[in-house]
Parts: sequence; structure tokens; C-alpha cells
Amino acid sequence: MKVMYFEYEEGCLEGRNVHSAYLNDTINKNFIDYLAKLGKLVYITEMNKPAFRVIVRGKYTMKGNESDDHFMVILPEGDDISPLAELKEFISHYVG
Amino acid sequence: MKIYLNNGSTSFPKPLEVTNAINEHLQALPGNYGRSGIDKSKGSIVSSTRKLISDFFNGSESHNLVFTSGSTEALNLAILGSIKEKCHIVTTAIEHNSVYRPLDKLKQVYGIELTIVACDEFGNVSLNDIEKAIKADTNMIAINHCSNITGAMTDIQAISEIAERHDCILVIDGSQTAGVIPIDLQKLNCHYFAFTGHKSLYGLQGCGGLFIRKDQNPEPLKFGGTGFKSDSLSQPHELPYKYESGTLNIPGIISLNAGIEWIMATGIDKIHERKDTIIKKIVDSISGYRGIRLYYSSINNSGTLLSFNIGQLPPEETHYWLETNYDIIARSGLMCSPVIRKYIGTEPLGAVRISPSYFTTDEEVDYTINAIKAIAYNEEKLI
Repeated sequence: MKVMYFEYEEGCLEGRNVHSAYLNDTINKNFIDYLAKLGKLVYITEMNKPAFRVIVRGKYTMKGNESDDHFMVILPEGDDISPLAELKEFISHYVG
Repeated sequence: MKIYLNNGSTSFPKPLEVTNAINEHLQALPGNYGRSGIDKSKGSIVSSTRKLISDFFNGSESHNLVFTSGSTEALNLAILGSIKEKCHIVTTAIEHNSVYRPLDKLKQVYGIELTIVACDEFGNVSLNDIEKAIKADTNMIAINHCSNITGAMTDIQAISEIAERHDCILVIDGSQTAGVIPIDLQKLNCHYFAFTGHKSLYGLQGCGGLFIRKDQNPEPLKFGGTGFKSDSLSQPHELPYKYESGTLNIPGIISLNAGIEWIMATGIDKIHERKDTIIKKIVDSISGYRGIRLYYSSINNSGTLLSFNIGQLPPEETHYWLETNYDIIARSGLMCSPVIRKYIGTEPLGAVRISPSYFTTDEEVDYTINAIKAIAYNEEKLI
């Protein structure tokens, strides 16, 4: 899997360091389990599509839905986006 | 297929008649009102739309209509164009930043004193509180006809009488009501009524207008070419040219024309009833379910929108899951109305708002109800 690009999420509420990661393939349960190696997984099956949150303590939170080609990365307040490069590298090693 | 429930921001879909009118316009020779070198028949659409809108609001006799880019420009013209010295102004807690920010500018420039009258937990503002806020030097009352957060409606007829009694300029923000309920400007007798074209008048974004009572003469905020008295280096005093410098938004005006024609053909009451029925069904279905809090009262409500929160879930989280998991487009946050949250209990992050359309289907409503309930059911996992 590859992260094609990250897109900054500009919301109404200012001061958030939120980005969407766009992938070259859709998200499935195996990929979610791979992301879960980075932190704590909350997997929710009682919605329209299975949804997930992965909390990487002190670093960031990822959340998204199965079958989408993107997920959200919520970084701590501020300008530091260096965890995105680490995440991109981590995802590049995933083989579905 | 996404379900669009953000008509409080901008309406979608537009009636087919609006789309067809814009398409037809774009494929024909360009027009530019008041200028030569273009298809002159296009000029008449501006005059005829001005008359159509004026008649729609019954303002032809009492008010002049000036086209603007929307409510924000209209409110800026009314507020900044009318106040030129220090005075006291009354506004309310249910306003949009399109009112607060021009008022703040007046604070910076002239040192005006501003009273923001509180609202109750549903966004209702007491007439008595408005009247009590008026002082000897109060020059203006700037008020929202309808809260874009709770749908609470203000009794603008009664406020107009208050303004008349105290000799105050009355500015009404009709962003959420123009095209929703019949408005009679002649009866209302307000000094200014601002509206936007892209919400319930079904026009394009970037069009709207300001009704200026015929005895008012605000200073223009922009200056330039009007296609009228071009030999003069000074801004013309004649209306509407005084306030309409620059190229008019002809596609927007054409869309407004078609939108209002569609409303008149369909029936404003019928359109409103459909939205109100949807809102009431959603209210009845989700009220009291697993920590859902509604910021809504059926009394004095526009019946066009519903704001809510789910337990401890931040509004942007609910918004996110509605959009990404259920393909439902809603709106969340402060929605440019920062003061009301203190009174309705949505501090600090605001709420989620759904605002259906006349075209929203029963299936979409049922799907949305189930989606909100499912998110509420999973609230603890989603935090």
C-alpha cells in the first residue's frame, strides 16, 4: 500500500492539525490490523461500513472506514507534521 | 449517492428550471447590464428580476432593491453605510458573523457601544429584552429573522414597531427566511432587509440583495464603473447605480429569477410544509435516544433545520461519521454564529446541523434517522 498524498483538512474550527491520507487502494480489515500495530485499535462493526480508530499515544489518531481509499490523521495542535512521513513509510511496507 | 442535508448553508439540488436558465444563459451571447458591446436583451433580465424580487417581498412601493454578492455584503452596506458616528447599537445573541463583524468594525472606527441581547436555550430572543436594551443614543437594531443554529424565529413585525417607537434604524438579516416564509416588506416597514440568493431562493452562490427603505441613504462601500453617467469621475447618486459598481453577477441574477419563479409556481407554503414535516419527523425519531441533545423547540421555529449533539461526541466527529460512513452531508461547528452557543449549551465546539430540502425523500429521511441512531449507539467507541 502507498500513501499517494496527504491533504490538509481545513475546517471551521481553527488550530487543528488534521490531514487525510489518500491511498492507492481501498482499506480492508487486514490493513486496519496493520495500522493497529502502531497503537490501540477501536473497531466498530455496527455502522454502515466497518469503522476504525487507531490511537497512537502521544503522537496522533487515525480514523476511517473500510472500503474507503482514505483515512484521517489527527495530529497534536501545532505545525509539526513529521509523523506523517513516518506513517507514510510504515504504510509502504504493508503488503495486502 | 450522497444525501445532502446542508441546505441551511446552500441549497441543493436547485430546481431544474434554475439549471436550465443558467445553461441557456451561458450558451447565449454575453450580457452586461448598462454596458454596450453586448447583447442588450440581457439587460432587461436585471430589471425584470429586480421587479420580480421586489414584488415577491412586496417591497416595490416601499424599498429599493440593490443586488449584492449575498447577505454579508448586504449587511455590510446596511450597517457600515448607515453609521458614521459614535452611537449605541442593539443586536442579539443569535446573529451571524456577517452582523457581528461589521459591528465590530464600527467599534474600532467610531467606538460605538454594542449591546448583545441574550436568547433562551432555544435561541428565542425576548421582545421585552430588546426594548429594554435601547438607550437614548441607540441608533440601530440589527437582528436575525431566524437563527441558523436553532431555527428560532424572531417577531420582526413587533421589533419593527419597537424600532419605530424609538427612532432606530432596523436592519434585518433574512438569510434563513427569504424564500421560506412570505415576507411583506411594505407591512414590515424595516429600514433594511438583507437576503442571500443561494439558500431558499435557489439561486447561485454569490448573489443576493439588500432592500433599502426609500427614505434611507447609506454611503456606498464600493465605487467604480456602473455603465451610467460614465463621463463623471464621481459615483452616481442615482439608485441602483450608487451601490452596484462593477460587473453585476448576471448568472446569479438569472438563477434568482428562475428560483423565485419556481417558488411561486410550486408554492412557498408547500415547500415550507415539506421541510417542516421532515424536521418534525427527525425530531420525533431521535429525541431522547441515547444521549442525543436537540437544540430545538417547535414554538416559533422555522422548521427548516435541526441542530443536535450526541453524548460526549464532539460535533465534528458526528459530522465526520455521518459523511464518511453514511454519505450524509451535514454541517458542524459554530456555523459562523459564535455567541448563541453560550446560551443554548453548545460551548465550546458548537453542534451538528441537518437542514433538508423540499427534494429530500422519505427514504433519505429514514436513512438519516437510522444513521444518527447508529452513531449514538456507538458513541463511546467513536470518542
